[in-house]
Amino acid sequence: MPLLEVRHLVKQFSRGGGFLKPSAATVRAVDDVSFAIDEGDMFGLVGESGSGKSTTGRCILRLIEPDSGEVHFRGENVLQYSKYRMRLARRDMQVVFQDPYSSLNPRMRARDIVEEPLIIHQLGSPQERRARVAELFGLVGLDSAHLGRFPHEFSGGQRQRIGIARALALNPAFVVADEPVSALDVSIQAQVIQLLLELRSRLRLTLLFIAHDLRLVENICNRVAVMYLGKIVEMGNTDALFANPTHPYTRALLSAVPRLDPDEPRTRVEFDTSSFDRDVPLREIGNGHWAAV
Amino acid sequence: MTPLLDVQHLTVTFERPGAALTAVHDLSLTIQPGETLGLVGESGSGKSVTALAILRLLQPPGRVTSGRVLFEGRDLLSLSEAEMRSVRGGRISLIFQEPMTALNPTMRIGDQIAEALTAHGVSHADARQRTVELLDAVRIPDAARRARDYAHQLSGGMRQRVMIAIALACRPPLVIADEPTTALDVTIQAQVLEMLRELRSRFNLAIMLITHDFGVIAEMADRVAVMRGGELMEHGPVRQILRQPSHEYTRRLLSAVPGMGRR
Repeated sequence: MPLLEVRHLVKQFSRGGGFLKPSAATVRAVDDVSFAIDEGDMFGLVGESGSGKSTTGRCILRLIEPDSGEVHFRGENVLQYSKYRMRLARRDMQVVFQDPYSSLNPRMRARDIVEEPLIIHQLGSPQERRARVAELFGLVGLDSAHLGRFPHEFSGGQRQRIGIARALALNPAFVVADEPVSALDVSIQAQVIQLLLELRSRLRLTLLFIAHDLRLVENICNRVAVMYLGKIVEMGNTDALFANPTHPYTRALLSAVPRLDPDEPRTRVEFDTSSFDRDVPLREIGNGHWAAV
Repeated sequence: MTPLLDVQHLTVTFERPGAALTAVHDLSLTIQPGETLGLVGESGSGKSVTALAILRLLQPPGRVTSGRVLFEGRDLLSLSEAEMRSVRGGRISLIFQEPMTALNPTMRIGDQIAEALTAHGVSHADARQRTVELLDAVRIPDAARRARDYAHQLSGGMRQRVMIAIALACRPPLVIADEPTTALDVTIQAQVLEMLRELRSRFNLAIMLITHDFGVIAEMADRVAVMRGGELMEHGPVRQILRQPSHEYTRRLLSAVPGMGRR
C-alpha cells in the first residue's frame, strides 16, 4: 500500500468578477490529479508557473481545501478528517516552503520557531522541548550557539535549514518540500539538497518534492510527474521518463533546459499549446511509465 | 582590435561611517563589438554592482574609487551627467531581471518604447512607427494593438520582450542584461534567449550577460568572467571555462549545477 495516494483531486479558483460581482469564470488549478507515493519515495512534481504543482501540494496537506477528490494517507482519506483530526495528522505530514525570507516569523527567535510545533501539539516538558530543539539544530547543521538569533541574522541557506528543522520537529513520515531551494544561490542549493537527501535516508522520510527545475528533479527523485495546466501529463520512474519522454509538453520542457555544452546541437521542440487536449487520460506506455497521449 | 568596452582596474566601495565595504576590487575586463561576455557569480559577488558602475547608476554610499571605463574611446567616468544620459539607452542599454518593476505600470508599453526614442532626439511621429517595428522585432504578435496595452496585461515573457524592445530602441552597440531570464519559466527563457541570439547577429550587438546560471552561459556566451566577493576569479573562452576551469571556485560552482555532464 502506498504511503500517500491522491485520487481525482480537483481545486478550482474563480477569476474575473470582483466586489459584489459574480465571478466570470473558474480556473481548474488542479484538474483530476491522481498519483501515489510509496514509503521512502522521493517523488518529484514538476511544472512551470501556473501548472498547479504547488496547489496540489497544499491541497494534500489541506492548507487549501480541495473541491473534490481523495487524499489517502496510510489508507485513510484525510479530506474526511475533522479539523481536530487533521491537526493530529499533520504531525506526520509537514511542509517546507520555498521562500525562507517570508516563511519565518521575523519577530521570533530561531529556537522559538523550531519549538512552536512542539508547543502546538503539546509535546514534552519545557526542558524536553529545549533538548529537542538543540537536537534539531544539530540535525540540520546549524550552530546551537545561534539558537537565540532572529531570522534576519541568518543567511538564506541557514534560514532554509531553520524551516527544515521546524518541519522535522514532530518527526513526520511525509514532507512536502515546495521549491525548497529555488530562492537560494547554486552552491547553497547543493548544500541544502545534500542535507535533504541525508535526512531522507537517516529519518526514512518520504518526500513530495515540488520543483520547476528538471535537472534537479532528475538528479534526486526516483519518481516524477510532470504537470501542465492542472493536469499530470506524464509520470513514471525518473530513469524511464527521462530516457523516453513521450508527452509533447515533457519533450518541449526538456528541450528548453539550457545545455552545459556549447557545442551540443540544440533542437528545441515547441509545444503547440492549442493542440493540448485536457481530456486525454494517462495510459501506461511502459513499465511504470504513464503519459497522456 | 580595440575593444568596445574596456574596464580597467575598477574598484567600487560602499562607505559608511566607520566602515567601508569593497564591493568590486580591481576588476578589469573587455568586450569586443558583437561579443557576448558572460559575467557569472552568486549573490554578493559584485556582478550587478559592476553593471551599475559602468553606467554610473550607483547610489550613494556606493562609489567608484578607482579605475577607468573606456567605451568608444571615452572614459565614461569622466563624462558630464548630460553626456552620460545620451550614453545610457543610446549607446549602452540595460535590461533588468524583473520586468514588472522595471516597466512603468501607468504608461502604455508603446509609449514607454517611444519615450526611449524621443529622449534621444527622435521625432514623435517617427518614434510611433519605430515602436511597432520594435515590437515586431521582439516577436510580439499583433504589435500595433499590443502597443496600447499596459504592463499588467502582458505575461512575464512578453514583458521581458518589451524591456528588450526598449533596450534596443536606439540600436546601441552594447546591452548589459542583468539576469534577463531568471524570473521566467524555462520554456519562455528558451524563447527569449533564442530571440536575443537572433537580434544579436542582426544588429551586431555586444552583450554583457550577468547571470548565476551556467546553462544560460553555455547557451549564449563567447567568453566568461567568474566573479566572487568583488574579484575576478578567472576568465576565458566559454568552452575552456566550462570544460577545464582552472580556478577551484569555478569548479565548485560547476559541480553544484545539477545534471552537469549528463544528457
